[in-house]
Amino acid sequence: MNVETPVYLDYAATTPVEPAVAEAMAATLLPGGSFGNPSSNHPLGREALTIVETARQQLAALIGARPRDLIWTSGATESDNMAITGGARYRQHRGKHLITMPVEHKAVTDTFAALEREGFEVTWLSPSNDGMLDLQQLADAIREDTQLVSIMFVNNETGVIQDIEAIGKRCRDSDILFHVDAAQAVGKVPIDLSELPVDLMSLTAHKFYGPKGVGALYIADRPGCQIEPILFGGGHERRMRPGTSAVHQLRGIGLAAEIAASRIEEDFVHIRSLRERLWAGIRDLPALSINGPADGGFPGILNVSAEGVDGESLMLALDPVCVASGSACNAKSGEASYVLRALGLDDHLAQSAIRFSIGRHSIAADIDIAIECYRHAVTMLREMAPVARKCV
Amino acid sequence: MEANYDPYNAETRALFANPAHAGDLQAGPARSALAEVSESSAGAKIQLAVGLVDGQIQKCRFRVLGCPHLIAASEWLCRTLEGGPAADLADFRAADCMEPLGIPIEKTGRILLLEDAIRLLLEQLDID
Repeated sequence: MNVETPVYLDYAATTPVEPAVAEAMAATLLPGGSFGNPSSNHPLGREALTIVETARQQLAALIGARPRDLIWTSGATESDNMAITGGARYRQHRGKHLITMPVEHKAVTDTFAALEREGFEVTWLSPSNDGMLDLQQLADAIREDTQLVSIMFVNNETGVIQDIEAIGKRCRDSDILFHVDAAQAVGKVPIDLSELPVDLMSLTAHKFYGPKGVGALYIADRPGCQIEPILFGGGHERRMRPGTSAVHQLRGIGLAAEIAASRIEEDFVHIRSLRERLWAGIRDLPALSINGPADGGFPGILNVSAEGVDGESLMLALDPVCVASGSACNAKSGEASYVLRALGLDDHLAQSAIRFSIGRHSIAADIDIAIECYRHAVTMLREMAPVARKCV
Repeated sequence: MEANYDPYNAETRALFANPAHAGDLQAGPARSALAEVSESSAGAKIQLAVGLVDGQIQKCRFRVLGCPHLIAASEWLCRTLEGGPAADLADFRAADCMEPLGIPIEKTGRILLLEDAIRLLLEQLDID
């Protein structure tokens, strides 16, 4: 089929900035705008500081946190590094055992791997076939010297939503720091940190229609919930994250959070209906399987494997439908997704996986094009594939 | 100057989009051979078939489970060989198609599957 305009179904990789957010950011940057340094004690500095603190309130309102419990960062990767490394080091005099899962984002798994090289011991809990963490497995893994557990809220490849409340309660019972990578959850699923037993939570603006390069780390205000800073150089952000605040970025994340809060349920319903439309349009193709929950996970992500199809060829045949093969972070390596491998898929099936991720701006026509392109691509590649026979 | 990060050049895209030689040999050529080779690590697999008439390659067909570069290279090979003398089979080297198709060096092993397939065809056809 001939489709020339890109159809964007890769919202789990990143989202476009809301026009109102971009306009507000631009106004902050320009002469005549609030471009001052928030640390400066003059009118423009105070104006910039007002933007920084307003953004903190806007983001806090989205996730049920107190503004003072948020530290600005450059995004979820930095927040993950700060939380895990800083938390582990802060508590290392008590013990050096940490727990996570191999299906976490690389920002988490690579940070744990670095801590292993520092002498920490990490227990990697395998997920069940549907991607969920078995709470009994977690309970069995917890030891007297366990100091930090990190489990993601929504998996970026499969859309699996973990039982954050139950995991958090188990960690609280043992006075263990609980970190959550919520990059795929914030602004998309309701989160109320005033109720959830979460100590540390990472997030980033560009997953919820804000700008790239800005995020936050939530640090709960409770005894024992502290981290060591990993960056030094000033007193910014409670001495946790030095550097001049990026006022325009913070204007962006704040406004994006406010918009997300105002339409989170509307977005959720919209996305869920489009996911159902997408799956209904392709599910009758032979030998197709969903990676992750068939329902009950985050509806914005539909990860599908097709037997007998090469993932890289499928991606090119789907052009110009913008989707992901594995996750955006390892798409260029050509290797099968480590997340899908951890769910028990063999190399062939993992390698054939395509992640469709639907967002606020997706429309039914996009889904219909994706359905037609996917059906055509899978059929074409299967027709081209070798068939079993005896060689002459 | 703007950098180009498209992993597929125009030739590869064109061949991938129009793999006219994908499929099987139909009945016809009196002398034919079919080779199948696979790459164990990534699972790429090729079936390559040729049909000869009077020492000429009348038909060349392929089937591939693999990446776009391998599909494009298979189509390129069939287009190159078809209509030529059977002896040309022995001259093919993977490097012949790597440059025109812009195939990255790390995929050399996969493209070498085509050389392996041709070697098997030559054995079956008893061509030196």
